[in-house]
Amino acid sequence: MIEIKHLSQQRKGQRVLDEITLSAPGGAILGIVGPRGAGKTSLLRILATLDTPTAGDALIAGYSVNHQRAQVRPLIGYLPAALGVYADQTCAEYLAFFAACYGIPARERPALVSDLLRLVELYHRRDDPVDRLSPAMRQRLGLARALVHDPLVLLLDEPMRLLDPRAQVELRETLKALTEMNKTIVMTSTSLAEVQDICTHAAILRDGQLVESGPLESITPSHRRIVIKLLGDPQTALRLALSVNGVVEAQFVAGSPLPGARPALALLKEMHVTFDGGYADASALLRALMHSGVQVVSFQEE
Amino acid sequence: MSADIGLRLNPILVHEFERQMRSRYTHLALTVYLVVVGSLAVLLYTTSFLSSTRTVGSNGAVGAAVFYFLVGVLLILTTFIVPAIAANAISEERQSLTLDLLRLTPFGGGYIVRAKLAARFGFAVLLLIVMLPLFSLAFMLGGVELRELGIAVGIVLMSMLTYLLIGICVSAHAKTTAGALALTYTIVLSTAIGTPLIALLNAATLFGRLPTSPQDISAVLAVLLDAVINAGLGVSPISTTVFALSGLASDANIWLNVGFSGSAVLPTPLVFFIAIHLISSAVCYAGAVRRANAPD
Repeated sequence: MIEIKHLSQQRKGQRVLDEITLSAPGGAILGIVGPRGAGKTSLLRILATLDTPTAGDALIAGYSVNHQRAQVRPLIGYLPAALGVYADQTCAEYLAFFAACYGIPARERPALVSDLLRLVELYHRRDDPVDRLSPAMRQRLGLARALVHDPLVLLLDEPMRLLDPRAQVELRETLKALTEMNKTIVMTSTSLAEVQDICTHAAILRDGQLVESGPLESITPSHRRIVIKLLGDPQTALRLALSVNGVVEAQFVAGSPLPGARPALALLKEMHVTFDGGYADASALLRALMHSGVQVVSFQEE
Repeated sequence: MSADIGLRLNPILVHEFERQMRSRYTHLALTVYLVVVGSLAVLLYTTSFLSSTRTVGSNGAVGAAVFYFLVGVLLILTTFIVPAIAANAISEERQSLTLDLLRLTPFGGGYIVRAKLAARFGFAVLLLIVMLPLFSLAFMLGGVELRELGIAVGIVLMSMLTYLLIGICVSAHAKTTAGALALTYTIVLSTAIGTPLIALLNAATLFGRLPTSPQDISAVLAVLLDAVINAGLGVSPISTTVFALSGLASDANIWLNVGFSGSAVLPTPLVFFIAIHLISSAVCYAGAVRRANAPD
């Protein structure tokens, strides 16, 4: 269904995507995972025909996203990371407007809009202005909009980002139901853990390069990276981190304090820890740091 | 699917109309506009009527004064209001992140630009239509010919179209609505007011028999300079209307006349106006569609 061949993109002389080659069969859920700036959104925008690659191509149902945009566009439903809405429209009007844009006959639109709003559990908010929805509700409305013309492929840019844990579970259920309708889904995320219980395939990007890709079973999340921001003695933190089971490497990122930053923030240090253990090991690392007196400000898996 | 879409109204156009008419400011602006223009016309009529001696044809002079006043209002409206209603056309979609969503629909950039243009042109024409009862006042008093109204309305409609397309084209290229508004006003005001002023200044300097005027301009150069001056005047709807209406008032040919140098018969500013505005509109339309289709 989706075939990406040697896809590269350069922007302002900088390589954003470098020779990406991967594929996903029909009905698959492909998770594109990587830290911020890895090129996930750029790749998704190319697949959505909104950007042009500088080299290579991608095929959706056999059509080139670069040369056959008119054929590709009816096949895809795109949910951007930040959803655009018209403040003057209600949820129902918003969906009906896009249904009209996709040529859905007027008599079919009310039923379609109701169905979609029920699917994303926004039916009770159908007459509310879209700009009054919470970010998570907007995300769900965006998903309904992406489905309005019944596309074969859904391209979702960080759909979990703004959702609370309960909404994430619901979205996973919705996406699973969509794959049962033989829809292919491509979604991006900053965390493999976030998508691993729903994706059938995964691709890991870092600095615009494909690190690993294939069916989820074949992806080995052996090397996780944790970014820890802390206050206190860096040597103690480093020694402790290296003593924890599963830690492969730990290092502090050299950097100068932000200009004008308050003294407390200027003392903030960033440690990158690479480890091949499970979440229990990560938890042990956090516990060890906190018991040592090091003040952990943030602890995040990349 | 495309044939199906062709049979019904463009939904982007429908949404634009809804958006315009849902805003209470639209109704307020229309009401204030009519009250101000109507009051000024009545004031002008009263002043002209009271100051004119009661002779045969004095009503005609009042009618002409009301007519020229209303044409002036239309030209000011076109120059100062129309750019403001065009400059947010595409940039607003870009800022509210809806442009990408629209570009993914089967409509594409051409449909988006045409819908934006049609909605805004419809609103500009509405501003013109609501003034028609006031124009009928001028006709009732006499002193105005139908072809004068035709020429004036034609110039106004054509410049509305051009200014809307300039605004939409700038809006398609601009990142923000504020930037689009500033650039659109710069282009429109410099062409509507700046260019004819420069043309008239050159005409006075070159052919005005001033002490500083050159004495030995060759005939060919004079014709060329005449054409450039007429083109400069033809850029602006204001100078074009002034020249066309004064030509009609003096029963002169409004398409061809003797230039400022007096050396040859040339197309009038009205001819240049039509050519320049048609070409500008086509270029701006193509530029807007091209940009609306291109990746950001």
